[in-house]
Amino acid sequence: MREKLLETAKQILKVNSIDLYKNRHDISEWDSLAHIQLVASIEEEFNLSIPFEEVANINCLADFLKYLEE
Amino acid sequence: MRIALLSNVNVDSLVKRIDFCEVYSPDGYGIWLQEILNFDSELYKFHPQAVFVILDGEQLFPRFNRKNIMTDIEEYFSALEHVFSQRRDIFFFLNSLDFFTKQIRASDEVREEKFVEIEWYRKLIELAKKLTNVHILNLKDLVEKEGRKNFYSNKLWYLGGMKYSTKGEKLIIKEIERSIKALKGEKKKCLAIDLDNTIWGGVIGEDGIEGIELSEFKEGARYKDFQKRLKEFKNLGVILTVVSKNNEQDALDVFEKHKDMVLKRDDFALMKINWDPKSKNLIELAKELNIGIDSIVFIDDNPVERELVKKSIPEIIVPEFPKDTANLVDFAEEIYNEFFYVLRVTAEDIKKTQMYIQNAKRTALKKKYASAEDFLKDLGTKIYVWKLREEDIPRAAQLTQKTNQFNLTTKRYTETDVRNFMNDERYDVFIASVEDKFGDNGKVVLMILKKDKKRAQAEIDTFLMSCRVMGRHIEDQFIDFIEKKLKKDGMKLLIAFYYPTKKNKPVENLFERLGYTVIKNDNEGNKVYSRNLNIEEPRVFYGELIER
Repeated sequence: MREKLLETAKQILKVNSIDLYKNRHDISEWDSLAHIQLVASIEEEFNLSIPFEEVANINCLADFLKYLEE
Repeated sequence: MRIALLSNVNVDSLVKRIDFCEVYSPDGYGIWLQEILNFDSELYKFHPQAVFVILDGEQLFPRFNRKNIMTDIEEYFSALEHVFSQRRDIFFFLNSLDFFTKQIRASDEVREEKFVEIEWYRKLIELAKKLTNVHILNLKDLVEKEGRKNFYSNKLWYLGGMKYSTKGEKLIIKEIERSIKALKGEKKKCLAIDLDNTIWGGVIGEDGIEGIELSEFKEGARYKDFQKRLKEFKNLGVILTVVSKNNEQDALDVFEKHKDMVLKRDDFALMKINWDPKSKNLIELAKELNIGIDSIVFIDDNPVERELVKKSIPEIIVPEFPKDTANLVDFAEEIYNEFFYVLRVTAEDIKKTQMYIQNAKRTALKKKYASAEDFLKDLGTKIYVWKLREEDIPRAAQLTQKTNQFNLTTKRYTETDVRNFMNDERYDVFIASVEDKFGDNGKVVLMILKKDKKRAQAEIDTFLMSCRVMGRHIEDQFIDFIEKKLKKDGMKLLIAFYYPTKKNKPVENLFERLGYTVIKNDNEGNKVYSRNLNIEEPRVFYGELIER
C-alpha cells in the first residue's frame, strides 16, 4: 500500500524519489495545485474519502497513511 | 503539434497532465471568450494549430431562465462562428454541453436544462457542418458513459475550482489525444478478421451452419452485435478483409445462408479462406490491396495464431482478443478509437471498400488480356483534372498524409497548409479524379507546383497518386497536361524532385521514364531533375483527360 502511495505521489509531483515524512512545504513540486491533485488521485486510487476539513492538514505523504489504514 | 486549451473552469490540472504536445492555457479561466474573440490575444500569439474549448454548462449559465439562456446560446454561437470562420488556419474543438442542476425538485417538475443541452448541441452540429475547421468534442458522451458522479468531483470544485475528477480528466485527455491523432491523419487502413469464434461462436467446419452461435438474442447476440459494430467500421472508411483457416465453401455458406449474418460477402474487399499460414495470407492481402503491411490490424481469437502472425510480421497490429466474449462490442469500440478514429467521414471513405472491390475486378480482367496495353485501352479510363477548390481541401490534405508509395517528395500537409498553397498565387495546386468502366476511383492524384515567373521556371513540390490507380500510366497523361499548361503560362523549365523513403521505391525512376534529366543527386538517393518545356516528349496515353 505504501508502495502504491509513493508511486502515485511520484507521478503527480513528477519527481523521481520522495520521502514519506518530508514536509510538503520543502518540496517545490508539491504546490497547491499538486496538493489538490494528490488528494483527488489518492481518493480515487484507494477508493476512500478524505474529509474536506482535513485536506489542509496533510503536510507529508505519511499523513495519508491513516486514511489508507482505516 | 501546438494546442491551446480554453475553459470557463479551472483546467490547470488537466493541462498539467498533457505530455504529448505543447499546450497553451491562459492564466485565469474567466477570459476564455476574450482570448478567442481578440486576435491579438496571447492565444493567437502562441500560434496554436488546434484550440480545444471545454465549457462547463453550470458556470456558463449560472442563473436559470430558459428563455434568456436560449438567447445567450444564439449569441455565443454567432460570435464563435464569426471568429472560427476568420481563422480557418486553426482547428477549433468545441464540446457538447453537459448541463445539469443540483436543484432539488418535485418528480413531475420540468427539467428545463434538457432543452438547453439539445439547443447547444443543435447549434454545435450546424457550426461543424458549416466550417470544416470546427469539430465536436463529445464531452457529453464521455459523461454519460462514465456517469456524472464519477466524472465530476465535488471536492476538487470546492478546493480549487476544478470540475472534473481524476478519472474525468483522464477521459477528456484521451479524447483530445485521439482528436490530435486524427488531425494528423495517423490511422490504420485495413481490418483483417478471423471467422470461427471471432465473428460467430464455434467452428463452422465442425458445428455446421445450424450449430454456430449467432442470433438476435441471448448467447449468439454477442457475435451478432460485434458484427454490427464491424459493419460500422466499413462505413467509416475501414477496409474489411477476412483471413481464416477453413474450407472456403463452408465459410462462404455462412455468409450466404445464415439469416443472422450482419456482414455480407460484399462488405469485404478481400477474403483469404484457406489452410495457408495466416502470415502468408496477410502479406498477399497487403500486396493485392496495394497497402502497407503496417496499415493492417489483425483480429483473431486464437492466441497461437496471433503469436505466429506477430512473430513473422512485427509491423502488423495484433490486439489481444477479449477473454470474456460478453465484451466484444466494447472491444470493437476500443479498436476503432485506438486505430481507426476519424473526426469526419469523407465521400472517399464511404466508397473505399467498393473501390477496392472494383480494383480486384480490374486485376481479374487484366489476367484475361494478352497484353497490358490491350487491357489499359479497354478500361475506358477518364482523368478529370482541375485546380483545387475549397471543397477539395480535406481530401487533398488526406492524400498528402496517407500516400506512401507513389509519392515523390512525401511532404505531409494539414488542411491549413493546403489552403495556404491554394490561396498563394505563387502556387498552383491540381487535383484529379479517375473513372473507368468499373466505377469512380474518386480524387486520387495531387500536384503542388511552385512557380517562379521571373525565372520562367516551376518546381514540383508534391506529386502523388493513390496506389489504387497505380500502373495505368495515368501519371504520364497527367504530367503531360501539367507541362503543357505551364508552357502556356510562360514557363520554360520544370524542376522535379525524388526523395527516397522506405516505401516510395516504385517511383524511384519515374521522372527518368518520363524524359526528365537528373541534374543533381546525392549518396542518399535524393535526386533533382529538370525538363525543358519547349521540347515535347512523345508519350503513349490510354485514357482520356478532361479539364474541369
